[in-house]
Amino acid sequence: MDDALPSLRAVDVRCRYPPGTVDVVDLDELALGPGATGLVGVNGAGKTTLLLTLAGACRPQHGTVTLDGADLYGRERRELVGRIGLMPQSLDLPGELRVADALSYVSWLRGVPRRVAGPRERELLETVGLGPRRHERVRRLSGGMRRRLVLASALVTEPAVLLLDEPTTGLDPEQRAGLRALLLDLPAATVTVLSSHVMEDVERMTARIVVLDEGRVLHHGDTTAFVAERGGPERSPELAFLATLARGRA
Amino acid sequence: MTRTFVWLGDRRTVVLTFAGMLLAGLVPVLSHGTDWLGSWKLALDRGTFSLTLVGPVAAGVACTAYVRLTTSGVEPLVQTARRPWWPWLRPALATWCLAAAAVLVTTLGVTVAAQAAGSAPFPRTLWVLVPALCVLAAQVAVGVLLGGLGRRRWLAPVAAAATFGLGVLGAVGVIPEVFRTGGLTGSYAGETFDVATHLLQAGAALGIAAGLLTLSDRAAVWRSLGARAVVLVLVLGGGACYVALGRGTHETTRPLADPALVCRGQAPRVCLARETTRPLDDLVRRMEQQAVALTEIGIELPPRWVQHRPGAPAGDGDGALELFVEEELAGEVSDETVARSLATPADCPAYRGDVPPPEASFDTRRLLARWLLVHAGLLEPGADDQDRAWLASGTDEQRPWVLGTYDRLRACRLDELRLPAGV
Repeated sequence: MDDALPSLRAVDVRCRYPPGTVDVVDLDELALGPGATGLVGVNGAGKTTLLLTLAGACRPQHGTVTLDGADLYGRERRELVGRIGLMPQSLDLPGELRVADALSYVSWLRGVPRRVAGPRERELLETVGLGPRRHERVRRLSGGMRRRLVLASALVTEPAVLLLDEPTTGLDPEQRAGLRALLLDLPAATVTVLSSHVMEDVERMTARIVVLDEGRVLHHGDTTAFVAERGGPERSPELAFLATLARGRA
Repeated sequence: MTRTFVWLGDRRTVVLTFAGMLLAGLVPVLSHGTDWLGSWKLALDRGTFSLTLVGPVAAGVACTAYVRLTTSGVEPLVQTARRPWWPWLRPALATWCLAAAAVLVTTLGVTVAAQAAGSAPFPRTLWVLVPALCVLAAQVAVGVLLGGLGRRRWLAPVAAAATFGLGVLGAVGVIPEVFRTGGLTGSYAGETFDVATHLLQAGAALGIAAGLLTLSDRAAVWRSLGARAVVLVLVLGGGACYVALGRGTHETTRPLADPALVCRGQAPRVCLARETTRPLDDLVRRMEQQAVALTEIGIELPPRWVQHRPGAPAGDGDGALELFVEEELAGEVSDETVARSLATPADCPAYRGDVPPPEASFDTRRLLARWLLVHAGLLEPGADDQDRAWLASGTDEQRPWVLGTYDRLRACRLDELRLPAGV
C-alpha cells in the first residue's frame, strides 16, 4: 500500500456492549486502503458497530484501530477523528432547522473552523444538489434529500476516510441511483467503506468487499472476483453472499 | 440562537418555553400574595423561591431535548467531536441559561417592585442567586440523566415530578435541603442570608449536577483528563458538602451582628429594622396618637421604641415594638399592635427567656393596652368585659395604677405587677 495514501487498520479488535458478554465484533485484522470497500452482513452481524469503531465513536474493549499508523483512540485522537467522515444509518437532524443551519451545526460538532466551514458548506450543498434548498426546513425535505444532507454532513471535515452506514436504505430506485452517482464521484484516494444490505449497490460501487458474520470477517477481497467465483452461473452477488455465509458458518 | 438552542426547538418554541418558565416561576412567588413588597431581602428570597417550579420545568425541557438528541442518531457524531463533552452538554447549558434567565427576570421584577414600594435595597445580598443557580444546574441535570439514558418522551413529566419531589423531600427533612431555595416565612428584619449554609448547598448542588451529567453519557463526559479532573473535584467536594449539610442544623439566615435601624418621630421615637421600614410612617402616626394618654398623666416615655430582631439584644431603656410579621411587611399596622407596643416600655429578658414571665405581666399589659385604646377613642369596652368598670372610671382613679405599672414594666420588675382592684 502506498504510504502517501490513507489506510485504516483494525487489529485484534473486540467490541461488546456491557453488560453483554458476547463480542459483537471480533476481528483478527482488517486493513482498508484507498477506494471503496463494501461491508455486507445480515442484520446483527456487527456492521454498524464496526463502522462506529472505525470512526472513533466507539472504543473497542480490546485491540487497536490505526489511521495511517496512528492509534485512533490514542493521544492523537482529536486530530485523527477529524479525518474520518461518518454517515450514520439514520441521522434525524432537528426538523425545524434550515438545511444550511443543520449542516452548520454538524460542522460545529465536528470542529470545523468557522472561517472554512461557510464556503465548504455552500460547496457541499451544491455537490449534493441541495443548494437551492439551503433555506428550507429539514422537515420539508424528502427522504432522498435528507440522506443527501446526511452525506454532506459526513463530508464537512473533508475526510480522508468515509464510512457510510447503509446510505441507500429507505430510498426509492431513483433516489438510490442519484445517491449512488454522488458516491461514485468521490475522490478515488478516499478510503470509503460502504455498509449495505443492497448487494447491487455493493457490486456497482465498490472494488473490494468484506463479508461480516457474527462480528467475524468471513471474506475480504476483490468484489468482481467475489461475484464471479461464488455467484454461480448468473453471477449473482446475493448468491455469492449467501454462499460465503453458508461456507463460513459451516 | 440556532446553534445554541438546537435541540430545544425553533425560535418560537424557545420563546414559548421561556415564557412558560417565567409563568411557572411566578406561581410560587405570588403564592403568599405580595408580602415581599415590604422587604427587599424577602423579595430576593422569593425570586430564588421561583426555582421551586422553574427547576422542574427546566428538568422536563432538558429531558425532552436529550430524548430528541439521543434518538436522532447524532450521538456517533458527538462522540467523534474534538471535545465530545461540549456538544453533549450544550443542550443542558442552553436549558440552564433559559431557566436562569427566567429566575433572574423574576427576581429583578420582584426586587424592583419591592424597592418601588419603599423597601430599602440590599444589592450586596444578590450573591444568594449564585447558589440558587447551582441548584438549578442540579435540577437540569436530573432531566438530562433521565432523557439521556431513558430516551422516552414520556420521561419529561417524570423528570419534572422527580425534581419537584426532591425539593419536597428536602423540605420535610428526608434528605438535606439541596434542592430547596427561598420560601422563608419571615421578614428578614435584622437578618441576612447565611453564607456558610448557601456555600454548602451550592457545593452539593454542583456535585450532584456533575455526577448526573457524567452518568448521562460517560463516554462523552469522562473521556478527557481535564474533564475527569473537574468532575472528580466537583463530585468529591459536592459529596462532602452534602454530608455536612445533612449533619446538624443549617439555617439559611442569620441575625445581623449590627443591624441598621431607621427611626422617625420624636414623642415617641420609633425605630424599625432597615429591611422593613414600609409601615414606619403609619406606625409613628398611630403611636403619637395613643401615647398622648401616657404623657398627659405625666409618664416619661422611653427614648425610643425598637423593633425586635432575632438575636439582637434589647437596647437599654428602649421600648419593644411587638409587630406581627405581616405587619412588618405591610404599609399599615393595627391600633391593637400599637397599644401592645406602648404597653411594652422595655424589652425585658423574661419576655424571650425559656421560663415564661409571670401571668400577671400578660394581664397588666393587656389592660394597659386596652386603657390606651379607650383613651384614644379606638375602643369601646363591651358590656361583658370584666375591666369595663375600671376603664369607665375617671383618670384620677386610673392614674396611680397606670403610673405604677408603667414604672414596673420599664424596670422589668414583672413580679410586682398587679391588676387594679375589681378587675
